[in-house]
Amino acid sequence: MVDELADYLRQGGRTLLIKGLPGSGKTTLALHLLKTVGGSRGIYFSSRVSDESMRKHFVDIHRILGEKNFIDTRLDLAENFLSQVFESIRNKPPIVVLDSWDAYAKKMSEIERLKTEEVLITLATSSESSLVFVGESIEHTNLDFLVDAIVEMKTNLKADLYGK
Amino acid sequence: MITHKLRGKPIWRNHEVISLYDAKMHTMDVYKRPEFAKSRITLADEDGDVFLWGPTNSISSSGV
Repeated sequence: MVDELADYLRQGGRTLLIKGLPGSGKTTLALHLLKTVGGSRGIYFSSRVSDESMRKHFVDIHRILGEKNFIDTRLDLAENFLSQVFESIRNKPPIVVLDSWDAYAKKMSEIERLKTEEVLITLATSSESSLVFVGESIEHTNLDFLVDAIVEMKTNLKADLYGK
Repeated sequence: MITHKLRGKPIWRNHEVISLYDAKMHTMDVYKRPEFAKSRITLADEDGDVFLWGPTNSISSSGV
C-alpha cells in the first residue's frame, strides 16, 4: 500500500492527509514518500523539529533532503509560512510535505483555517506538485473532505487485526 | 497503516502492517494466518459414494 500511495501521488493524486497519534510513523511515511515521489527535489516544511534533530533521528535523511529542501518554520507566523509554501510550489517540486499541518492551523481562527485549507488544496490541484498534510488529530475535520487521499497511522494495528 | 480514502481509485487493501525499524518503512504481510489460528483438524477428501441432496437450485425450486 505504501508503494501504491507513492504511485497514486505520481499519477496525479494531488493531496494526501496523514493522520495519527505521536510515534505512529507519520513523519517516517512522509519522508518515505518524499524519497520515492520527490527523489531529491521534494520540500519538507517542519513546524515541530529542527533540521539538526531530524538529521540525528533519521540517518538516511541527507540522501532525501538537502539543506535548501528542509524549511524550518517553528517560529513563523501563519502568513509567513503560507507565503513560503506558495513560493516553494512555484518552483514545481514533485512533492511538498507540511509536517505538521495542525501546528500551523492551531494558530489560525476556524474561518481562517477553512479558507487556508481551501486555498492550499486549490493551489495543489492547479500545480504539478503533490501536497502532503501531516495531521496530529485523528478526528474528522473539513480537510478530510477536501483532500484526495487519507491515511491513518496506528500503533496497535496488530491487536485490531487479530483480536486483543 | 489504514487507508481511508483514495479518490478515484478502489482500495484493494485498506490495512497494512508496517515496521518502523531503523526509522524506515518495512511492509509486512497483514493477511498471513498466524499459527495459532490454523485448524489442526484435517478435512477428509471428497467421496463420490457419499449421499448428496442434489443441486441447490432443485431444493429451492421444490420449496424445501
